[in-house]
Amino acid sequence: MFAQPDIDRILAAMRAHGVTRLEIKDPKKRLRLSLPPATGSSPTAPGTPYSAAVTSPGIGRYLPRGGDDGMAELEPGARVLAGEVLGYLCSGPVRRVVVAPHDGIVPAEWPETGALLGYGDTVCRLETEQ
Amino acid sequence: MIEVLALPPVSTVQDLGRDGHWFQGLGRAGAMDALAHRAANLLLGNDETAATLEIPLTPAQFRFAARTSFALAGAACDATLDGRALPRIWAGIAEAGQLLALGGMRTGARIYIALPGGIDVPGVLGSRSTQLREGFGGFHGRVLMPGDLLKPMQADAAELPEAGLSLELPALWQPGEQAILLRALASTEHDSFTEAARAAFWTTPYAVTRQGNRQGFRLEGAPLDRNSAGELRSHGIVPGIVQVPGGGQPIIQLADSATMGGYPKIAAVIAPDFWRIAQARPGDQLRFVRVDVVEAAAAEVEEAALLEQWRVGLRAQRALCRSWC
Repeated sequence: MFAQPDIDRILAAMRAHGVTRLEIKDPKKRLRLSLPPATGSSPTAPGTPYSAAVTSPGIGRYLPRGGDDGMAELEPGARVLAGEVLGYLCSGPVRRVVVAPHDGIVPAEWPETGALLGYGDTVCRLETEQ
Repeated sequence: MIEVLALPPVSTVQDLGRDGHWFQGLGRAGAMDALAHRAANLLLGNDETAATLEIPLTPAQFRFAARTSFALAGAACDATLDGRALPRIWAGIAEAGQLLALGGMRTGARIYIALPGGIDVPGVLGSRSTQLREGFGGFHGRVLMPGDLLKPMQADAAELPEAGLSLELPALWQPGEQAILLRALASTEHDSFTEAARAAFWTTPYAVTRQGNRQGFRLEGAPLDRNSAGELRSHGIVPGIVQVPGGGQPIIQLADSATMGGYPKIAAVIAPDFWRIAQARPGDQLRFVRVDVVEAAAAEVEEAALLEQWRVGLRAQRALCRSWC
């Protein structure tokens, strides 16, 4: 079992590094921690825009949406809704779908097509409002 | 279980077809685009022979009666699940009451929907495919109608990541090509066509006309004349055969091909390219590329390797999902 002080320390480290999901598993124990999306700055008032990281749900090579998937490309500045497809993590021909965890504005910065991402890596930062 | 809310009356339940009854005059039926059918099944961890719903015309709407996984593969049609846009190849979970909407097809001509374990319809003569001409198999031997309920063979949802999985399928058009390329073998009466006709057939594009269905597509292009006139005796034909009736415009026989025909045969499209014909829309250009039997056999090996790559990749994803999702 993890003691509460250990869990608190792990949570603090997750907040410090913008990690929103963490799972630790060994044959005897399993710990799964989730945090709300990290904020890029510390908003002081409701309505203040801030950006939140969209993290990779697995390991794979990044592919933006809008190629051969029959979906429109995402234009920077456009709005996306929670659950909307942002892109894919490709492992050979298999594509794991990356979706927006919350409503937001499409950023200009994305990984290069084919960039290797690991679990928890930042895919992009969606600008949103507090 | 999904309920059909709206669907043009041309969609049928299909699997990989009913082989072994040709000599009795019973065609094969089965999915027109077997590649998309297999992709939809594999995404859910189904057997590739499991029955799927083949949709050749949209718009369409379905409502999920219970929480279930499903997969979608084939033409791009702006599919949405409760308003959320889906990739054209996708497997994921639908909650009870959610609405799956398929819009107009933009590229491609057929969509396949798979359910866990396959669509639960009885097997007849070794297959669950709908034999439309004979009126048996599939869903009561008929096309699907609004109000019909499709049940999955398995109640449990497939193991899938929360946001779903997609798969890379081969491109319908090769880079730089205006026409969809179809590899074909010369057929029995090939040499009875004039030299000009043979040259035109192998080098110029033929457009898909609106006269097409699961039995075959009529094409339009350079007329194909024969050196000799006159009818042939009826003989066996199979899906992929390209016949040329008196008017000189070719017809490709497809999944619901007749078993016999009397028109001269100029070529036979190889099976690994049938899916390309199935996804061609009226107005699309097809161009036939001559191959020999060695190249045709190599194409089969290539297709088998692609399917194995899908199987291995999806098995690995399911294993990851079991430990990480």
